[in-house]
Formats: sequence, structure tokens, C-alpha cells
Amino acid sequence: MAMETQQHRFPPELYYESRSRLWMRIEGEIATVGLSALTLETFGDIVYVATSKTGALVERGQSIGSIEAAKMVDDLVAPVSGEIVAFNEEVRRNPALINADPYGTGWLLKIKLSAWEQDAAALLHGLTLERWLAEQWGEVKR
Amino acid sequence: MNEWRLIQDDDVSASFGLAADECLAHRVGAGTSQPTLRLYTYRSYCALVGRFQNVDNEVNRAYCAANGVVLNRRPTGGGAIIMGREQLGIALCIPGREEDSYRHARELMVHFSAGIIRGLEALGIQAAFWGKNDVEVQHRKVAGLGVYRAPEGGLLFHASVLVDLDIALMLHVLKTPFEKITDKAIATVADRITTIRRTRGGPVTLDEVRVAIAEGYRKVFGVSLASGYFLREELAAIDELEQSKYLTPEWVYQTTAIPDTFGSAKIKTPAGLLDVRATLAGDTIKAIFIGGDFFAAEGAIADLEARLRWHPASLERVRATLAKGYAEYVGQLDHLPLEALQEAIGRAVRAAQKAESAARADPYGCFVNPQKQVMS
Repeated sequence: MAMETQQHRFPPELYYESRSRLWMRIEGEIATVGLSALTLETFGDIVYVATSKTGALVERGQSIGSIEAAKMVDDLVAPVSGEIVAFNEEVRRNPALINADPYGTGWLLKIKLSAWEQDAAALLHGLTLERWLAEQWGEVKR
Repeated sequence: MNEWRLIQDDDVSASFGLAADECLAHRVGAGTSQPTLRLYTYRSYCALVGRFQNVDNEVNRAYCAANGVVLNRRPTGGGAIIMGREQLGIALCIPGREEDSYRHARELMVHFSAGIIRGLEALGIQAAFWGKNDVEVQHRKVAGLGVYRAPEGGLLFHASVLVDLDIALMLHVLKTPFEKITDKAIATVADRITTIRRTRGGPVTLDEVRVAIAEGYRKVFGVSLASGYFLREELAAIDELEQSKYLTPEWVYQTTAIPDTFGSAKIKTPAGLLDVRATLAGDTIKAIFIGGDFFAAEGAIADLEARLRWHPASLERVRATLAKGYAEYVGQLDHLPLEALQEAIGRAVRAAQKAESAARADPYGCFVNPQKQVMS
């Protein structure tokens, strides 16, 4: 599959954390966070999801929950620092939504940003995303 | 050549055993502990549920309390298991590479289970990776697998290898569909699982298995193994995690937002009665039991059941998986019409989707298929 095809799985308006495989949609001071389509392709069908409670203060790199797919449990790592202001109750009850609509109704949680300028520098977006796709695709396609 | 530390410890408590594995996953990911292969046993007995399971759905708590069986929850996924002196625990803690982030979950399971398979081969046992996350010998499960990826990037590969197993005890501890623990119930379970001693047909000690599996990992991963033990600072970190997590009821008895649901269907076919039972978590089939009085090769049935574990409940995808399985078992499933099996599974799944049950069935880790009916 060509790299161009992969780019379709990474909507350009979003930000990405490559190691934690999460996407973020930034609207004002709120980041909506979810799992990227390529992540879901490799993980398979998500069976369980648990996230930190609203009101929790998190720093980039901290665990904010976990997911399970086919006996593999993965910690969700905060891609940005801030306060968790919402989690998607629907996906907790029906994780299949994550696979069905990862960039839409399958979002996981919302974080009120506290250090966006600092965090943004470490995220993939625009040219850095394109470069990452070009560098990683050889590994990704395995 | 990379060096892994080899830790061999026995009779550990459930809370220490699990805290140590998780702690090492964090530390190895952070680069503060070296990659470690731990081959160990738990103090007999403990029942360990999977990361997201509800204890009350999986374990007979009254029996455990009366018989000193300790309960705890693993950081890895999967179903409930019992562990003791005759079940070898494996915990491989290695740093995850960024490219591992995008490796398929099944690929990782296959990769990490290769050391077990090579080790068993040295004992004269031909084992293979099976389904999504098991190791089997002649279509009988001999080891269950799970993976946990820590936020620091460390990977914990967990496995339980059955050197021996007291099936009757397991049926008392774990909630299963059997109303009574009879010889027939035990034989039914034995159709689907096996042990190293049973497979070899002779005595073999747990230590012999441990040595063989250590050697298997050494060869498969091209590493050297240096025997060692936890460092003082690691023991302090393990103790902290044990106290703050694995000894707390908040961790052990937590519940999930997704209840198990159960459904069954019986239909008559020209070849006999077909009895299908399905356990679902949301829109995922956690386990399927295919029983009845039709004739079919036991291995083929067990394999179909394995293919459908952790499988989407979408009937279209179930049909595709069954068709693929039938194509591989030409001549072995002739007395079980594919259309009848599709119909029965479809009905069982629909029933499960409608009715929420207390889910007495095992998801997939207790080595017992759900709601297995004892055939008369």
C-alpha cells in the first residue's frame, strides 16, 4: 500500500502522538483525543476501554486509561497535559464504536490544555506528520 | 549479543507475582531495569482474572474463601486462570521499540510465544501458536498468552504453561457451565486442554520445563541469559506497587462497564442435535461452544471455537471465518453442515445480544468453553 494511502488514515487537520498512537483535534483550549485508524488496524477490535475520571489532572506521558484487544492491554498515554473534562461514555459501553468511527463518534476523552505550546512541539502535524509517515512506513507496512 | 536477566522464583504470592511483573515492565520501558525473563510459580493456589474481567462473573468467591484460594487481577488481558506449583508462569519484560507500536497484536503474540514452542519442542512436544493467543498441542490448549504495554513503552508478555492441572479444582474455583463436577465434565474439559505431563505420557518436573523454556527463549531471541534476582531498588518499587495496587480491593474487585452476555441455540440437523453457546462482550464474541451429538473430528471443532474467540459478532464475519475453517478441514466436518452451524451460531449470538446474563461462562482464559453442556 502506498504512503499516500496511509495519509488518508491520518486526517491532516489533526495532531498525532506517534508512540501512543493517539490523535487530537484542537478546538480552542480543548483537545479531543482518540485512537488512529492505523492503530486500530494493528490492534484489531477493541473489547474494553477504561479512562481516567473527569477532573483528573494529567501530564503528557502519564497513563490516562487502558484498552484491551485480543488479550493485549495497552495503556493510553496522555499526549498533552491538562485536565480531563470529559470521557466518551458511549465507547466505554460499546467499544466497537472506536473501530467503526475512530475520528468521529469513537473519540475517547477531552482534555483542557494546560501547556499546549510546549506539548505541540512534540506532536506530529503538517510537515512533521508527512516526514514521519515517510520514515515509518517501511516499518508500518509489516 | 544482548543479555537478559533470568529470574527463577517459586511459591510467590499473587500480589507480589503480579506487582513484580508490572513493575519490571515499567522499569524496563524506562531503561532503569534490564530486560528480564522471569520463570516462576505461584503459591498454590490463586485465581487470576484478566485486566477487565468482573471477579464475580469468573470466580466462585465462596469456594475460594473457604479453601484459601487467593484472588487477584492481572495487568494483562484475557480470562481467569488458576495458578499454583504445577503451572509455570512466564513474564518476559523487554523495552518496546517505536515500530512495535504498529505491529499487529497477533504478531506480537506469535513472536513472544516462540520461546515456549521451542522449549516444548526440546521436550519432544510439538506445539504451535493457535488462534489469536494460545499455544496448543494437537488442538488442545497448553498455554494461554497475554501482553501488556506500559506507558513507558515496556512490553510485558505473560503466559501460563500447564505442566499439570487439577481440572476438578479448576472447575470448583472458576465459574463454568457445569452444574456438577462429574467425570464427564472433567473429560469434556480435557477434550479442549492438555498438560505437558499428559502430552509426554510420563513424568517431567516443573524445573525441567523451566530449563527447556529458558533455553527456548535463548535460542529464538539470540540472547544470553544471566541468572539473577530483583535488585534492592526493584524490590522497593515492587513493594510500593503491591501495597498501592495489587493488595487493594479497588484493583482486585473493580468492574467494567460492559457486562458479559450469554446466548444459546439448539437446532436439529439430519446428522443430529447441534448445541451452540456464545458469550459476548459488547459486539465481540468472547467464546463459543459447539456441541451436540453429531460426529466430527474433535480437533476441527476445537479449532473452529478458537477461531471465533475474540471475534466480531457480526454474522457476516462469522460466516467468513467458518467458511475458511471448513475449507481447511475437508472431510472432517462432513456431518456438520456449514449452513446449520452458521444458523445455530447466528441464533446464539442474537440471543446473547438480547439478553444480559450474569455470565457464568468463561471468556477465554480459564481453559473452559462457555456453558458447555454435558452430553448424555
